[in-house]
Formats: sequence, C-alpha cells, structure tokens
Amino acid sequence: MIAADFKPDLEGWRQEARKFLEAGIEPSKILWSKESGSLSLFGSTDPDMKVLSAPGGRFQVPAEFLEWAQLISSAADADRWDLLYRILFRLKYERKDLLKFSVDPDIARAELLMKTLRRDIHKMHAFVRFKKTDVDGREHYVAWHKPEHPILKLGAPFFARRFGDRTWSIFTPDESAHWDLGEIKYGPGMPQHEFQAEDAFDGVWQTYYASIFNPARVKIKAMKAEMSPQYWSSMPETALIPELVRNAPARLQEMAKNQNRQAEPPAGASLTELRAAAQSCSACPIVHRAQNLVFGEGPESARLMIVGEQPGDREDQEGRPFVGPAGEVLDECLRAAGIDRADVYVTSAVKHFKWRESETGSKIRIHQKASGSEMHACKPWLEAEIARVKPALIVALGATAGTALLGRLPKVKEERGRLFESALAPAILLSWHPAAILRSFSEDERRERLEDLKMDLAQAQNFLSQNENPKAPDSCLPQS
Amino acid sequence: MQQASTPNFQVLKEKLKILADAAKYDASCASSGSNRARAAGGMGNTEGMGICHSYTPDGRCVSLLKLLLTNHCIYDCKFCINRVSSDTPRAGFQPSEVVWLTLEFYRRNYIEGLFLSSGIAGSSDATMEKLIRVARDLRLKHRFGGYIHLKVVAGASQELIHEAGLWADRLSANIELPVQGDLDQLAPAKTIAAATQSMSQIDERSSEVREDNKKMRVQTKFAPAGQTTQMIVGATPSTDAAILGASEKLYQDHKLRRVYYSAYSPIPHADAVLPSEKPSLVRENRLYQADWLVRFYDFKAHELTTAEAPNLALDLDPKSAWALGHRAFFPVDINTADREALLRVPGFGVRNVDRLIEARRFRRLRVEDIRRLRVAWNRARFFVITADHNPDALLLDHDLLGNRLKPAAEQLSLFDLRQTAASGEL
Ligand code: SF4
Ligand code: SF4
Repeated sequence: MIAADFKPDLEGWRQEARKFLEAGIEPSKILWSKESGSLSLFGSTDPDMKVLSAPGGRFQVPAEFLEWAQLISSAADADRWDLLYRILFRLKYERKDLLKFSVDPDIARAELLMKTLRRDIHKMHAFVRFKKTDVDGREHYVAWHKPEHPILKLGAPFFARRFGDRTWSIFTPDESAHWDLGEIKYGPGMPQHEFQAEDAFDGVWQTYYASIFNPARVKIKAMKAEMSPQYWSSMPETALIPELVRNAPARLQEMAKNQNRQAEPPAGASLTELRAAAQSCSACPIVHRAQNLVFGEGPESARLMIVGEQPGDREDQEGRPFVGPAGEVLDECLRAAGIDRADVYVTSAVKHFKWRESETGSKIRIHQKASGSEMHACKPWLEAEIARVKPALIVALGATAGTALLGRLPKVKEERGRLFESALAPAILLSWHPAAILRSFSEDERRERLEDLKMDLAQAQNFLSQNENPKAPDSCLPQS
Repeated sequence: MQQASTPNFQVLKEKLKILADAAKYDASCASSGSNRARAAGGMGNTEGMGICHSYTPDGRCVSLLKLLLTNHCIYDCKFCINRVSSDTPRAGFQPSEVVWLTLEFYRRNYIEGLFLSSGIAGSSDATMEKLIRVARDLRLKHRFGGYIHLKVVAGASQELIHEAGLWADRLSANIELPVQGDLDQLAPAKTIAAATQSMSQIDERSSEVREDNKKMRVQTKFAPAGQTTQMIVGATPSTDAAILGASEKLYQDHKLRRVYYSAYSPIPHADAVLPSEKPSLVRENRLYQADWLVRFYDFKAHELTTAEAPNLALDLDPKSAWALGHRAFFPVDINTADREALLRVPGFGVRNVDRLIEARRFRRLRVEDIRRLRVAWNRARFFVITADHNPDALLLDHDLLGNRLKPAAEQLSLFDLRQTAASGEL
C-alpha cells in the first residue's frame, strides 16, 4: 500500500496521480486519504503490488475528465481523490471512452457527486444575499453564505460576471472572495456570528416574499426540498416562513369570506322558475336590506331585451323594474322610438335595491351603487335570463349593464349607439341609463342625452326590423 | 447609475402588497432561455438556465420580481381577481418605481430579473407603453442585463409589440382559455383570435430579426427567450383533450416555448386547508406532464386521451396511462429498441434514455445498470426486457397492472406533484 503524499487540491493531486499513473500503480494499492478507509492499517507498501506496464505512446487525458476532476476535487467527500484516480487509471488501461459508460459504478458515483456539487454551486448563486454597506463613502456589497462543499472558488466567478460594476465580498466559514472591480481575491473565512451587516432594504424584500405566497397551496416539504433549512440563517425572507405557514388557514378563511360568491341559478329553469329561485338568493349582502326582488319582466318571446343597472326605491317597493322616475324616462324614449314596452324584456344587472340612510335623518332611502363583487354575484341571473329569452338584440343602459354584457367597462359617451358583436346575442347596443339622464349637470346635457337614448332605441327598433332572424340562434348562448 | 432619490420604503411596501399579490396568479416564473452578457458599466446578465432565488411555503420558485404595474382594469374577466367587478384593493406603480425596485432587488441577488404585467387601465396601448417604458429604462438608462419578461397586453398594437421585444427577453400573450366558447362565458371582451394575432406578430418579428441578423454586423436581440402563454384550467368544462389540442396547435403555429396551466380555484371553502390535494391541482400537474410528453417525448396530443376518456387520469401519470392502453407495444428491449420506443417506457426520462443508448454500446445492459441511472424502476420494470430480465408477460396482460403503477393513494405526494409541476418532467 502506498500512501499518497500530496497537497489536497486539484494541482497537488494531479502531480501525484501522474506519478502513479506513469508507474502503472493500481488504484487499490494507493491510499489517498486517511479518512477514506481502514486501508491505512496495511502500511505504506504492499508486497503484492502488481505494476502494469503502460501501453505504448503518450496517454492523453480526455478534456472532459479535467472538468470532472475540477468539480470533484471540490467535494467534501473523503473518497474523491481515490475515485478520480480510479477513473483516470481505467481511462488509460481500460477504455478511453469510459466516461460515457454511465452505468459503470465509478462513473455513476462520479456523476452523482458532480450533480451534488453543481447543485451546491447553483444554490450558492441562488441564495447569496448581498447587503449594501458603505465603505468610505463607497457602496460595497457583502454576503455570508455556507455552502455544503468548499465550492467558493467555483461559485464566485458568477458574481463577478453579474455584479462586476460594484465591489463585493462573499464570506463562507472557510474562505472568502473579494471582487475589487478587476479580479477576485480569496481570503480567510469567517464564522457567521462575526458577520454583521444590516440592510434596511431587507424589509422590502420580505414584504414582497410574503405577498407572493399563496396560502391556498401550502407545500412545506416541496419548499424545503429546494431550499434546505441549512441555508436559511443567511436569507432574510426565511424569518417569515413560520408565521406565513401559521397564518395560512386564517388567510384562507378570510379569502373565502371575501371571495366573490355568485348566484347559482337552477340549470334549465324556465323564466318563472328562475324568478322563483331568485327570491331566495343571498349571494350578496344587498338582499338583507331590500324589500323585494326585482327580477326581469316581459315576454319570453321578446326579441329586444333592455338591461338597466339596479333597482331604485320605487322598484324595490313594487318588485318591478323601471317603474320609478327612471322608468318614466325609459317609457318616454321607448314611445318615441315606436317600441311597445309590452314586447320588451326589461331587466337589470343587479336584482336588489341597495341603499343607505340619509344623513339628514329623513326617511328617504338613498340609492347606493352596487359594488363590483355584488354585480359579479348577481350576474348569473342576467345570464340565465338571456339564455332563456334569447333576444336578437340587447340594449345595455349605462356602464354597469354595459360591463355585465361586454365584459369590460365601456365609455358610454364614446361608445353608445354602436352595435357590438357578442356571444350573448347577435348584437348589443349601449346607451345612456335613464338615471344618468335625470342626473345630468345641465338642462342642455339632459336634453342631449335624452335625444341620444331616443335615437339609440330607434336604431334598436331599426335593427330588429331589418334582422329577419326572429330570435338568437342557440349556438351563441351561454349554458349557465 | 442609481436614481437620485430613494423612494419611500413604506409606500413601496404598501404597493407591493397589492401588486405582487395580484401578480402571483400568473403561473409563469421561468427565467431561462436567454443569453445576455453584462454591459460595460452595467449590472446583470442572463446565462441560459434561470435560477430560483427563493421558495415560498407554497413550494413555488421565486425567480423574478413579479409585479403588476397596476391592478386597475376595465376588463371583467370572471376568473381574475383584478376584474372591474371586484372589490379588491387597487394600486398602481409609477414606471420609475418598478425600475428602482428591480435594480435594488437584483443588486442584492434576490432575483433574476423582472416579470411585468398589468391590468388594462384605459387603453391597451397606453398600458403597453408603460410596460415598455420600464423595460426600456432598465436597458438603456441603467444598462440592466438581467432577465425581463413582459406581458403583451390584450389588444396591444403591432408597433408596441415590436418595441417590447427589443427590451424583453421573453414576451407572453395570454390565451387564457382553450376555446372561444370558454372566453365568451368568462371573458367576453377577449378573443382567441386577438391573442394568437399577438403571438403571430411576435413570432414573425422574431424571424425577421433573425434573418436581418444574418446580414448585419450589429446583432439585434428580439425576445431571445421566445414567447409563452397561460391557460386557466378548470374554470370551464373544456376537456383535457381540448386543452392539450389547443396547446399543441399553439406550439406548432407560434413556436411557443411553453404553455403554462393554472388551476382555477373558484372559492376556497372553509375545507380548503389541505388544498394541495385538491383535484384541480392534480389535474394541473397532469397537464404539465402531458404537455411535456408532447414537447419532448414525441407524443401527439391526441394519443394521450381517448374519445371515451377525454380527460387525463388523475391517479396515474399520462405516460403510464398510455402504456396501459397500449400493452401490445411492450415489452421494449432496452438493448435494441430505438430511442422513440424507449421514450415511451413509463419511468424513463429523456436523459435516462440518452445515457442508456450511450451505455449499451459498451455491453448488453442488465437491471442493475438501469437502476444505476436512477430511473423509476418500479414502474419501468413491467415494460422492458434487459439482458437478465423479462417482465412477467402475464402481469403485462393483467388488469391489475394499473394498480401496480398507481402510487398508493397518499403517494400522490406533494413532493411528486411539486417536482413534476415545476419541470413537467416525469
Ligand atoms: S342582488 Fe343579486 S346576487 Fe345579490 S342577493 Fe340579490 S339577486 Fe342575489
Ligand atoms: S384583462 Fe387581465 S387583469 Fe384585466 S380582468 Fe382580464 S385577466 Fe384580469
């Protein structure tokens, strides 16, 4: 048995290995490391040593092997030198394409080891956290990181390529690397407790980290598999993990509460059945303060559907759409356009009245606009009505109805009077909501909007008379 | 290169809470596929494979600073928390704030770069212009060489798409749902046609630039990491067959690098405490696996489902499911079979197969050889012949083989799911 006598780095090993290789000394006869086994019991020479004569010609080590050696020499594993020599020896005396024989135990072991090392280097690139410091009025970035293997020299050049425009230092327990804008210099290591650097910006990063965590998917094991707790102490965001995990169920509950529920109309129901089902809807909180459901009204055979925003005080009392002041305006415009309201299916995007008390203490119930989630909650009723009535044309009055029908918030002033294509109906036409006409700033504006609505309804009437299709074809209806 | 004034941390934190939260539903997180050297005097580079700089307790990789510029949106896509009919708190960044955050995050090695998307507040082009401004400032003013992924806002004009690609490494226009009928129900203002038009514009422009580069000395980069898209799964009744078919077409027509699938979770009910076992997440994972088979294993999308079973099995990976349905194809002799056949063996990955083909030049391979490659032997063993192993022909014909391939119920473990969901690899 020969005990190798070398400086335990790649260069030292190379010199020693070259000597052995030239002498043809078999791997099993060499003791590369005291820790690598009980072989040292055999002493330094072996009388049975079999020296193979080297084959003729110069032996050229494949370039790939040098890459392997560079990686593997940085492993913390005690058998690394032994493994490298075994492969080297076999490359020379067995096959020079041995490295491709992945199923060979030595090659498989080497590949596994390299995988571990590459991963360790990769994790260093990932998990180093720089802190900004001030050195004599100059920005300098410092980090402390503990790799699994002594790979600092393999890992550090990455940071020079990426952050070459500022100076930085990376400390590990055994070694440190320092970039001075020209080259990386290596120095002694530092225990973590001596590394002291504060960076107020860590808090911004933590906020980000907490905000992108999705409490609906807690997978601690998966997280730890990729980000082993051994690295956590130098990563500021990991301090939040226990709390994030602890609060996840509560946050989910909170999300469940806030998540916008939607009404669930019975499938395949008739209009009458839909209306009956809506009586007991409580998909949003508006219902609790309303007196009556205000469902759509009109013949199922209607070719024209008019959709408003939400019922008002009068509508709530009567349980019928467009019967208050806004209804009067609508009726006036329908008449002007030559449309008989009895032929129209009239409904609204939200089916209950939303209001608040008046600040003056009067009994008047002040109209309040439904919130986004309330509109969202109510939308299935409107869709069910459309699916049932299959109108040839839908007139959306106002931005809320427009949003419900077009899938985006329209600008009424600019987009009214246009016919939109839609999957809900052959055409959708947008116009002013009668309430918006009543709320006009000036008399001029009021008159203008009123004329607009009359004109738009006349256009609707015109569209219907030109359009031979009595009803919407089935294919473009949502089946909700 | 630093900006003169440091923004107020507190204000930024408040905005981050809203605009990072709102962006987290976008499934794409990769920062790979680009190559950009650091500019002189600048910071940042991209080197092929992206890096996950952290992991959140949901098991997901944090690679990019993923933000919405604003979550104000005039669209009403039902599946989206930012839709106009939502009461979610709203906020918006100034482009300069996003630039600053990106640089500060990057400098501390928190991230590989920026993923920037936005709600559509106002017009599509006005929104797209703001996204572009962030990317342009990062590249030109700050000589930033890190990764930038820009979302192509629905309906953005061709000129803006062309400019976006000059600064971004990757672009993505979201298809959202596999068929128009699904969009009609959930996002009536969006069309497949508009999304695929954006994709074509990206693809065509990138070919043009490639051609030009052949003639020019000065090379132009146009979205060097290509384009991706995202599809929401489970919000409509569309089958996996429809989804995989749509994806396959997107890969073919627009050379997409990747289709991301995002399981739609309508309402987390109170029982949602163990969400990782939700069928929707398993389905999402199965789609990633199937997608992977189409891209790297020479499977055609239609092979993975049948008319009778248009959805992927939840309890079995799609390759095993295919193998069970095509038992006459097996056993495959690992010492003689061609690459295509080996790729169809359950438990064999692409790398395994390539190494095995190398290794069998040395000698006939045995079971222990294959196990050394760390293949999933407990699955593969029913389907392969080696120098010293012939699978039980009876078992290969047996109905119970399916059960042997299924992981025991609880083995559909989080770990499995996470691993394959991240890579899609089996
Ligand atoms: S407003 Fe609509 S969603 Fe809300 S309770 Fe009434 S019917 Fe249901
Ligand atoms: S356009 Fe985008 S942000 Fe706006 S609601 Fe639709 S999916 Fe959400």
